[in-house]
Amino acid sequence: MTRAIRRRIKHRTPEGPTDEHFTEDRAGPIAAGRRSHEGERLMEALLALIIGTLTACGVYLILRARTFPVLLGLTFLSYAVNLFLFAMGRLVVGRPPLIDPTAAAYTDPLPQALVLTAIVIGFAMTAFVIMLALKARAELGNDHVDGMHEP
Amino acid sequence: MQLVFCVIIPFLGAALAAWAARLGPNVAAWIAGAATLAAGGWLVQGAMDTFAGATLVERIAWMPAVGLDLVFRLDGLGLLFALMILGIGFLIVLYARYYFSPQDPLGRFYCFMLLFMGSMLGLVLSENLIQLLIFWELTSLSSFLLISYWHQRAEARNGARMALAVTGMGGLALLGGVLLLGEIVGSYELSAVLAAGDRIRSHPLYLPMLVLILLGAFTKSAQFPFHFWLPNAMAAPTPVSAYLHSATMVKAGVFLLARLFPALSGTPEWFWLVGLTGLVTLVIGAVIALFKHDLKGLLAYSTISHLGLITMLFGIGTPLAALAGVFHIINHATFKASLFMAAGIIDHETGTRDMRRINGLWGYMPYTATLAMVAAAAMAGVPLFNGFLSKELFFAEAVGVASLYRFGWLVPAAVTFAGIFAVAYSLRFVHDVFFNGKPVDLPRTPHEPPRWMKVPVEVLVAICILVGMLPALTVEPLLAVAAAGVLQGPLPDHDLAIWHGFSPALWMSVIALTGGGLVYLGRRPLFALADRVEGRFEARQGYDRLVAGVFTLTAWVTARLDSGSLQRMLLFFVLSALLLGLAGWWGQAVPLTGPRPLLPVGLAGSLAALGLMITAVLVVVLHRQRLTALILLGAVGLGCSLIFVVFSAPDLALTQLSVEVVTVILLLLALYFLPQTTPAEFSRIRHGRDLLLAVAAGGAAAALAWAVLTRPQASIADWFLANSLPGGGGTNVVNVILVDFRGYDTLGEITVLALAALGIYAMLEGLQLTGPARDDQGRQWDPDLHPAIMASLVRLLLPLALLVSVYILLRGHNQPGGGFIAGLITAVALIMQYLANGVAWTHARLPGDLHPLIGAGLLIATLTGLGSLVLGYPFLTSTFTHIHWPLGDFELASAMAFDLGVYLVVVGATLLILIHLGLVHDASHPAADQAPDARGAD
Repeated sequence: MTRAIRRRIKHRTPEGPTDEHFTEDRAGPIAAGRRSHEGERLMEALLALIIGTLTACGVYLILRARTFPVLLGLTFLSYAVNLFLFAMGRLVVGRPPLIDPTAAAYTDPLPQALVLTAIVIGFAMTAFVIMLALKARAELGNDHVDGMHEP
Repeated sequence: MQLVFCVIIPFLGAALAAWAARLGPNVAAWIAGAATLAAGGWLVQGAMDTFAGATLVERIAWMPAVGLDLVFRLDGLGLLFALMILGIGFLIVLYARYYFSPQDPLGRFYCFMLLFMGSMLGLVLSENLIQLLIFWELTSLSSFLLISYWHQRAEARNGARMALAVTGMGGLALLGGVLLLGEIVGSYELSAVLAAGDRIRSHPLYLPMLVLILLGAFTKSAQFPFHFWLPNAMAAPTPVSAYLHSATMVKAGVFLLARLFPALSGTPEWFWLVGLTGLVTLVIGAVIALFKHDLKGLLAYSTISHLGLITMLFGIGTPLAALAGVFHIINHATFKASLFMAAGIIDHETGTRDMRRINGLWGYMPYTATLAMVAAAAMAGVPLFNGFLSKELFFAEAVGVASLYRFGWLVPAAVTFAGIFAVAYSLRFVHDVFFNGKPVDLPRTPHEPPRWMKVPVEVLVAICILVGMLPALTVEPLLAVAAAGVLQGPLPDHDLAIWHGFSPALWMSVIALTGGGLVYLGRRPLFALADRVEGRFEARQGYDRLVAGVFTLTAWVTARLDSGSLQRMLLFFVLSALLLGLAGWWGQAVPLTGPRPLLPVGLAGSLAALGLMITAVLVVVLHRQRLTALILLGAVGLGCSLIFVVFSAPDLALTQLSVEVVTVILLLLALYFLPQTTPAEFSRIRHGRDLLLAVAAGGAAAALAWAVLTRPQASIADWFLANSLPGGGGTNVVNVILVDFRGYDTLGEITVLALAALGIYAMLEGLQLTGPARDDQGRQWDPDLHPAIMASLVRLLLPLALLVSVYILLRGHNQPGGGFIAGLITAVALIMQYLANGVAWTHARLPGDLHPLIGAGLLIATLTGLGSLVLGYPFLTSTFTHIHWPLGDFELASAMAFDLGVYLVVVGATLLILIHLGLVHDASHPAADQAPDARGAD
């Protein structure tokens, strides 16, 4: 399924040798890696940039003085951390860790398992902090993170 | 297996007594007594062997893989202490039954007391030193509980805290000493340690090790300058004082000295440290005891003094001195426990413990008075009572020291001086309480106590007399076997006779007895002097200053670290994380980019990534428009799940997607109660600084991710991939890892989830918030809270959504899915009902109490794990089988039951969080709630 979507996306890519992309995708990343002359090999760079951007947004937001932006910042940091942990298994396209006799190789399942629970625990933590924010608002009458300034 | 039972039975009895107290105080007392006797029963066989000269060592494999065994040991010394713990413990059980008033919770007392008894038995019967240390700490903890039994009294709380602090610090030092000792010997087993005396004494670490171990022993046995906790522990009920502070716990320190005697003694360091500490404690305790007006205070300082005596005997270090030390342990336990019990009776009958008011009780309770006088005579060292015998041995040893050193004569002199005061305070105890005129202003009119309250005192006093008169017939066999246990070798020649001729020791006794009488006669000017210096030279003040200093220090550190500003703390946190990361990277000649071949990227991928990043930045730019920012945040979350889709992680994509939905709903619900916009309140500089820090952090994260992503990987993934199907029976490796290989982790994680949900439930309890009546632009909320089309459609959707979630749950072992994802889908489907149809409508149709759901989930997951334990496999081992149904091959794995538990916890926790926030909503606008309810009924 995943592979089919990607294939269609690649087909529609106007620039670059479309057919080569197609075969590469089918052959998988390891075969693709051998063609070192290929340009625009920047998938890793893009993901690193995304992680960086999410981190930067998260850090900026958790330094705000009101609870709601801090909540958003924490969510951003969760995204960034989850992606980062996930990336520790390296990027592999189209090889989900589902055992299949016809599959040639799989991506690393371990970071995925860790991140899966991290997402759920992250949700529980976010929910807890949300309730803390509401509790602070109810008790203190304002939404400042230190709970001391006038609303 | 008998020794371990002997130790475990009191612990079991403690639980039983606490529970059975509801059936009446007598039941608890009977259980406590029965537990004591039963523990003693398990000791009988071992006691026979010990008297025959054997040392029993009993080993129970606990964690054989890391070489941890439970090892118990019974030799003469252990037997003596076990007999005292059980024997006096039994008498205390009886005594306490009559001591406490009906409103005191007796079950709690017996529970704590049996806890202490078990800990103390474990301590004296341990073969392994670390195990001994664990029981040592347990005695500290249970004594804390016992001292603070009347926790409504401030002095009880303070005394308990002080005892715990002092003995706890000593325990810490002891841990260090024992670890050093274990390193020196190469084993923590007593048999090895006791046999390695020469190696230990010649080791360069001998002195630090000795000091640390002695710190542990001295704090526990209330030696100077750590003695001050014992008088303050007198706030405990008197049965506790009689048991812990005369016979057992304070003897743990001297027990340790005796236990390690063959391994540590025989050096000048030992002689000076132990002997001198004992001597100083002996003298100081005896002098202070005379001036205490509190009955129990006098006994407490007397106990300190006698503990000093015993310590000094072990410090002298000759075999005969060690034997005398053991003998005095026995004697002191009997006369001091009976004196404490007598003091308890007096307190019980008169309502006070102040000796300036308690006078002339001979006229009210002559029988108790006689018993107390006999015990006091034993304490003073009067001939024909047991205290005299061991004191004579002690005097003889002190004389023996005199010839060894230049100022050696000081030792017998100081000892005699202490003996004079021991006689004086014993005299005071007898004369002041039972004679000396009439009672002054007593709260109650005293009379003889109940019959059974006197029996324990009678038993102990009888022992005092019998041992004192017929030592060779009574105490000799036990003393011989116990002393042999201490010395781990042949016994010295000794003669427990009353008459040894006109020896120096006898003259010392004569001086002590007459001198004591004279001091007591001339007490008035001494008392006046004591009143003037009262409280000026107490070690307690040093302790108080120390504690105050620690509090000041911690307050200072906290104030430095925690300025009360979250922003400042987070700033420092991010900054230090950045700097630490930089410091680690700096100076290493490692290129940022690794050699791993990279993946190509097309235009669409680039655009999607760019879109994701722009959206993220937009959230920051627009974060003061909270609703807009929240919607954009949701878009970023969806982008993240797309990333998981692209890079072969379908499970993650599904999880992220459903969590995103729930998170955004939750944030929307919360936003209703919060201001709709964020005020602009920062200066330009502040914005610039935060921006700079954010960009630096983001850049560092990106660089780190890039560095990792461009490097080849060595992973343990192959093992999971190879074993997933044959070992776990599932083709979805991620799910198999979650429910099988790393099932323990998952069990912990769903527990955390459940706890978070319960914590949120607790926080929302009673929370009252008012939402705004209008939105931020001043418009009324739409009166149609639950549009009919949406409400009907969502109701239609529910069965479909539930079907999907069940499908996802069942296929999870082999295809993307599983308990986490299915749980989230179910939760979202149900939350949709709440959103579309209103809380009241949905609440009426669904079970509202979600705690059982969470509980059931955790129970199922745990039981699945325990099931494999029952079948003889490690916890959470999974099994699976294939069933051939007409419709095809169907796999059944025990891990699926575990996944069901996960599913239930996720559903329960998620719904609990959202529904209760929804209920707060409902409460905030009760009028609007009527509409959907009415329509729901239509």
